[in-house]
Amino acid sequence: MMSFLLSVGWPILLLLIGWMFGRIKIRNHRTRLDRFETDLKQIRLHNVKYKGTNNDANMTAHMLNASLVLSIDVFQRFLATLTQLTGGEHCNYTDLLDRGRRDALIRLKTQAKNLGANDIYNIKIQSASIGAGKGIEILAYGTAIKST
Amino acid sequence: MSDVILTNLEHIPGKQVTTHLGLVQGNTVRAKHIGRDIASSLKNIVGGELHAYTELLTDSRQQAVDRMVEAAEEMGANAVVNIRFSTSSVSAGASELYVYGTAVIVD
Repeated sequence: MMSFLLSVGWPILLLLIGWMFGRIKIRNHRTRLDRFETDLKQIRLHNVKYKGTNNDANMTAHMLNASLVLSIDVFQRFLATLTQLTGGEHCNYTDLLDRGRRDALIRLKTQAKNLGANDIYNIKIQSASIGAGKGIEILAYGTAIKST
Repeated sequence: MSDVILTNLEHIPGKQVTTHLGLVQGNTVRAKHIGRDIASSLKNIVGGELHAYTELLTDSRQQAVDRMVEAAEEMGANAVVNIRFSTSSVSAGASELYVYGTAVIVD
């Protein structure tokens, strides 16, 4: 009886820990994203190429890249496995990737701000699964144009 | 710090591309050590950012860029334009970071 409880108890305990801390972490992450997005509003992002202006002689280009690796908690991963049975949208992963992209763009904007640039051109965003599905890497890169 | 100008635009503002020297590339395949892998697995329970991985990939990508810049310098280029990154999983614990671009001479 005891060993049965232990063998069933562990996974459930892990799921519970994942559920509790995961929720807090996601909420904190969203709050942080909202705050940074407001703070960095003045930096403009363009995914078109820089066309050039008359003032080009005074402009310098700086390549920027920002990446992060995110993962979801065990509870959500468990839910995702259930979703696999019924089909439909993986809401947890949708949300994870959305937060990841926002975070990557915020990091890109922070780098531009530190340089003193207000525009980032030709932004590319991509994601890759790493560590055998443990995490998802989101990479954003672009070129900051700054007048000197 | 190298003085090669890097950009993922096709030209550099305020500068004229005089010579195209061709494709330059840099890559690296990295795996992290087991200690960090275990730490990441624990982190995986609660989710959130896996800082060890973020750091590893950022460092590795910088290494790939450095290799590309080295190749460009060997060709006598002073800028690399139209840079692209790509990441792929080559085996369970390792990823390849690849970066490529066109080496050019600008003035």
